[in-house]
Amino acid sequence: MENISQSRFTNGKANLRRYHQARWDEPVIFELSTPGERGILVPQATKAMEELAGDALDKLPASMHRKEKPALPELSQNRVLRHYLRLSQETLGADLNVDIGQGTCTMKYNPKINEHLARSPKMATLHPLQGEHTIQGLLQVLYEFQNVIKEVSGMDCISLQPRGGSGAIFTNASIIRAYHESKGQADQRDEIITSIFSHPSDAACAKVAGFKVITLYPGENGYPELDALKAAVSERTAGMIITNPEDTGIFNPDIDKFVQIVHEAGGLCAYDQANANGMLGITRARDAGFDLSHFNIHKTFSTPHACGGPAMGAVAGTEELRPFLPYPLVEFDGEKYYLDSNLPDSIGKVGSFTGVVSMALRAYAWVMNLGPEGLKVASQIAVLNNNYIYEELLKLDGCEAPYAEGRRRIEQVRYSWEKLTEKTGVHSGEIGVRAADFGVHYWTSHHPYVVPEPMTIEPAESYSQKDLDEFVQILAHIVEEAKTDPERVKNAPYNCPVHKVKEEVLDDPARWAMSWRGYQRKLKENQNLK
Amino acid sequence: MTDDSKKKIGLIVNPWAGVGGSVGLKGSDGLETREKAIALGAIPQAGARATIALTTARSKWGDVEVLSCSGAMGYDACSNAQVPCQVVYQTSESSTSEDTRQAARILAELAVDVLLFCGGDGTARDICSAIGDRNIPVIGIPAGVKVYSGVFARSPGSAGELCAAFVQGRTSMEECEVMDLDEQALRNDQVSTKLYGYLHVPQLNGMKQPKKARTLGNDAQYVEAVGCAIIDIMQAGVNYVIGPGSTTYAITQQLDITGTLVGVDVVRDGKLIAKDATEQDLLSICNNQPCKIVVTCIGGQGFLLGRGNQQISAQLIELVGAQHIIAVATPGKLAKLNGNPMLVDTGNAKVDTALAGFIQVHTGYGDKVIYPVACAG
Repeated sequence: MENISQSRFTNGKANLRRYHQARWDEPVIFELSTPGERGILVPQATKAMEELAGDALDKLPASMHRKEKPALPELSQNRVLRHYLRLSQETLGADLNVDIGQGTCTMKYNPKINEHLARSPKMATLHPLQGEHTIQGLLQVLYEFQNVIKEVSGMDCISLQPRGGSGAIFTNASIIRAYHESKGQADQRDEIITSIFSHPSDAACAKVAGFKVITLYPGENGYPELDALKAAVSERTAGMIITNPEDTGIFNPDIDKFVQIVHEAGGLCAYDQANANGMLGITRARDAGFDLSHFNIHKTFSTPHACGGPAMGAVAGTEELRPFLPYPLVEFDGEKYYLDSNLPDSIGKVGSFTGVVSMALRAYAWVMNLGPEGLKVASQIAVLNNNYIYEELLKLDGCEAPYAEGRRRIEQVRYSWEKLTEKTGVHSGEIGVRAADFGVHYWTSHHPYVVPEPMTIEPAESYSQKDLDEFVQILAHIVEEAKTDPERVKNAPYNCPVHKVKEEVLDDPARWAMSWRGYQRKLKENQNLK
Repeated sequence: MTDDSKKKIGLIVNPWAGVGGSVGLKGSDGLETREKAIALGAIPQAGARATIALTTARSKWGDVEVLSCSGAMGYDACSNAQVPCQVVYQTSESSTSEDTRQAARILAELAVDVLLFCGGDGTARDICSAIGDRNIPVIGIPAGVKVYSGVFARSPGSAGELCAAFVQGRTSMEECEVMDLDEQALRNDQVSTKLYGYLHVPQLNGMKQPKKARTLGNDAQYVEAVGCAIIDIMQAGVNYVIGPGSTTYAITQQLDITGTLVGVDVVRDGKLIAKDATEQDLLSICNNQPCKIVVTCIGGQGFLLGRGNQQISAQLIELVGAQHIIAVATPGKLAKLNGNPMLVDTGNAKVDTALAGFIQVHTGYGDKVIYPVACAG
């Protein structure tokens, strides 16, 4: 019998994983279509059924009738299954890799029991237009989950309607404007203050909501100085939307003073809790004086990221701001749960109904499984994991963590490879791509890079010490490669289905398409040009 | 021309760049200085630095055609780096700035795709004056005593890297300042810089990475946005002193006024009041008149006042009032400051101190940044 662990260790030390990703060269699903091929044969309706239902098209106005059948691909069931399984093998999914490199995204594990509950017929067959009396159980889940958010934020009222983090920030910005409108000051107060290491949506969503944006840069401590904020506030200040800790993982201990300065200038303060994964049960937005906050339920509360939606952003506000929240709100009168749409000053709806309720159920299940102490322990482990890998990564040649030297970080760190780049010519982006040859990856940072040659790592609480060690081991190996054979790193990846992405193609609308139809149209246009 | 045709690379080496530095001459401009430096024992380093850049680029740029000058102005560096080159400009042993300009013109005529040059601010200035209007991508290999201009790569090696990346199509283009100090003034311990113009310089694209957010628009879009933002806040009857630089130039361009890129203009009610104004012009225009000053930080060091815009003097600032200074810069330019404050050096400590602290900088349309300003020196 061979010792199977022999090849995994050298002198008692674990070897690098010998990883190779699948490459299927899988066509686009439309290319696979064969006319008449079917996955499911729907039984013919009986005569009695047909008579009862009549012609459904009759009920639609003629102007809405399609002239042609939809151009959908026609495939057998097993071919569809194979198609998507193959594509899934060409990605580094959250359930497949040690997904701690997607910093700022909090790629924590999504426990499968939550998925099981969300997919149960009790949940999946509900219709949003059902009468309130028939969905009391669901409303109870929403109401009790709201109570959880109230508890972790210290706020008084909650909306679960926004479809994700940016939706929630937009909601908060809109609430800030509605508040100033109610005071007759909306025209004058048109500036929102944020910081450069805050979630970039804080600036972007405020812009979309019609505000001008003032951005604070960090001081030596890694967070903005009070004097910078003082230079930003004026009679034009509508509010501040800020993350804490910011993307550097450094907690701003003066945050209550920040809030005070903005309040004194007449603005409201919204706490973007995108980076709250180290804060549950430890600090609360309200305790620092904030008027509003929001949580990304897909980050901090374990629900899937779902590739941009449908997700959930939970908005939390003080009682004073309740009239402006999106409606309906889920309430309880002591006997029954109900939807309150009687909010005449509301900003309106930012999504339909009460939000993506299956996400609330998943998050509720996660919280109820952990309990209050468990939530706090989850945060503590996230912080411990982060500071463990922080110490390990800083041992690597050329890896630094700018700002606040020697200070502990909360749940993530934005590192810099600048020293290594200077020495070897290898860039952070190239290291991240080379990491994919070992089955992990990392994200650099938003643009423009304020931290040079950045790398953002957020280990969350889901990963074991062994997982973190493997990640560090991979980076340590790449650092050695950069020093001895930089071309090896620069020409990576070798073990992935896609070699290099031609970014100039992504920037050229003539060469990309969002749909099969768009592709065909642009292809034709290109051929006509030739 | 097809995408895969051979790229033509022009190379100009200013063999005398940097000779003054090692012997404390604060520059190498002019024959006299050069001779003095050589007499003091200075050894020209520019050729060696060009060789490093070429050696770095050689292994990566594939099949290219290099066009250069004879001897120390290019051919020697090429042969040391084992890069075949075609000599298209003959020079004598003792080349001058006129040779640099002439070679640049010839290479431009031969339609090089990129011009690699080795030198300092003086060399950059020569190239700018010869071909600044031709939009030819230029990469500077730093070898001079003064390298204030934004056209230089950080090191000879990174200049080579950048050139190879350009050949491989991995770069975008940015306008970068050509700055130069007055060497004579510098030797007398006075700092006086001027903005001479802009050259198109390739910039490395963000590395191939799964991005969460798409790259921000290029800096040119921000320049335009800043211009719109300032025009939006312009008040009737107020004189706007528009400082030098491409970011501020966008304001006059969008007002459909022919202003100057490197000089100071004055605009009031959408009309040009003064073009390329001197300090005296500005003082008389602003005397007893409502005025605001629009400036951008110039050069890699982030000088907001005191370099390249000395017309906007301490006296003028006192007259107008420091609170009426409007700062503008693109986000990319701010990021390049690496977190260092913007600097002011008006020559008047009282004015500099009043300007130090935090300032609101317009960075786009409806976008401002609070950024620190410090006194230089």
